[in-house]
Amino acid sequence: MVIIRASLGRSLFKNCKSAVSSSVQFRQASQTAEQEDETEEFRVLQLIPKKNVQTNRRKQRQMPVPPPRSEKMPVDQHWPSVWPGPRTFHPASVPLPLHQGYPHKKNAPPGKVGNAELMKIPNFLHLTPPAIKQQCEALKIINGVRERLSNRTEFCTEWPKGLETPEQQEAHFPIEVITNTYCHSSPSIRDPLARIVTLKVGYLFDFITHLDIYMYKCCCCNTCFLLNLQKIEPWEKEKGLADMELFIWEGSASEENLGNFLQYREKSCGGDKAKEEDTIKFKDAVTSIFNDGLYPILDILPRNILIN
Amino acid sequence: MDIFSALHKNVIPLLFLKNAHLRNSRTIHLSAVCSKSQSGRYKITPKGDRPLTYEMANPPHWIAHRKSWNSFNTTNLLGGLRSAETAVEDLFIRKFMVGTWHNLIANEVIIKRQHNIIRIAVLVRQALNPRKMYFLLGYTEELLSSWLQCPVTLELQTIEDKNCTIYKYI
Repeated sequence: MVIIRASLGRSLFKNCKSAVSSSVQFRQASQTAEQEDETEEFRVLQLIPKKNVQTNRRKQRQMPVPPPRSEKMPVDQHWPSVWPGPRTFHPASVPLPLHQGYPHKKNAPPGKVGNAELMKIPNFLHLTPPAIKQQCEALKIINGVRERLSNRTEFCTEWPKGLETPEQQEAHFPIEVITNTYCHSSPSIRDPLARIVTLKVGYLFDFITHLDIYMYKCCCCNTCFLLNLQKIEPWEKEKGLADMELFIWEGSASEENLGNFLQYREKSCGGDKAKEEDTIKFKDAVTSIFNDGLYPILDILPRNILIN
Repeated sequence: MDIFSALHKNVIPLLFLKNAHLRNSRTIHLSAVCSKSQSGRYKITPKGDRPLTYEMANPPHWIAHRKSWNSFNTTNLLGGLRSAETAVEDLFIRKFMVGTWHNLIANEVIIKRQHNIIRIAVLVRQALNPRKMYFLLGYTEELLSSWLQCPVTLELQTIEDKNCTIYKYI
């Protein structure tokens, strides 16, 4: 290849190293030199040419963010449909120039955009007067339907005679069951206090029953709870001796042992038959040891001895 | 009454007079260095160019005065249940959020609990494209609700830049 352009000649003069080479390389060199000439008048001689370290950083595409929709909102819009329920504050959906926070020096309090304080506090934007009015009207309609349904006699039996007044109702049905429901901000619906059910019988008795096992069946719904109370589940029949809450002497190993012992005594010694009272005393003593522990019986024992 | 005036008044027993090292060890935890409260406070820089958010600019003693809490629940009220569990869960939610929305969250994670619903409010930078953001949103809600066994809602507010949240420079 003979044709060497003027620019190439200049580049050869500067970078002597690339002078002897094949024709293809000459062409490439000529192209780069032309490109460089367009940008720079004089090129710098690099005896040790630097590596072309141009990191190709991917430019992050900026996503076009539309302007906040609070700017486009018409003045007479239906606000309850914009903010239908309780929600954390969002500046783009509330067309109000809000500020919250303690001002720094003489500046204005922080504005609504990027304001964490506004996001923390609970707001009542879903409880504006029109929204409340709308909900009340919806409730009225529902109640109207319910009344119409309840007035239809085909679904109801007749109200029993003689139970018209609360006094009469109390006299005929003296039992009252009081349950408590508790609400917490936690994923569990169980509350130990909700297990306490008070059964009131007239004005005479008040006693509290702790209903453990049934509360696991149902905790949230009281009527459901009462219905479940009357059921006996199949697994409840599998209750063994170890599952009993209280010790019952009748049918226990202790009763059997006592019987065996008495039989043995009768046979071997020929003594009198055991008295009925002694058996009852023994039974009470064993039962109280199992149910109340040892200490109550120790308190009782001296007194019994004294009486005897 | 400091220890030296106490010495003059013969209040301190003889033991402390004889053993000076014991006396010193007794007083070190009351010294000015130890009683300084540091948590939630930021040091000023010589150039005054450290950006602070509103949350950072107000130290903990301003909670309920200038700023509000980051966790809202009823567990610490009288008769409240699961206070310890809730605290640990909140910690977990915070860690999970910061890790999942990595380098995107511009404020402290706000956790509000109402009945069994957990609402998580955060400020997020607009650095992801909406599709990825929606994916992360669903991912976070789904995983958290399956771990915590209750519905979890994410309530995001996106901001252009972290500079939006700067309250002051110190």
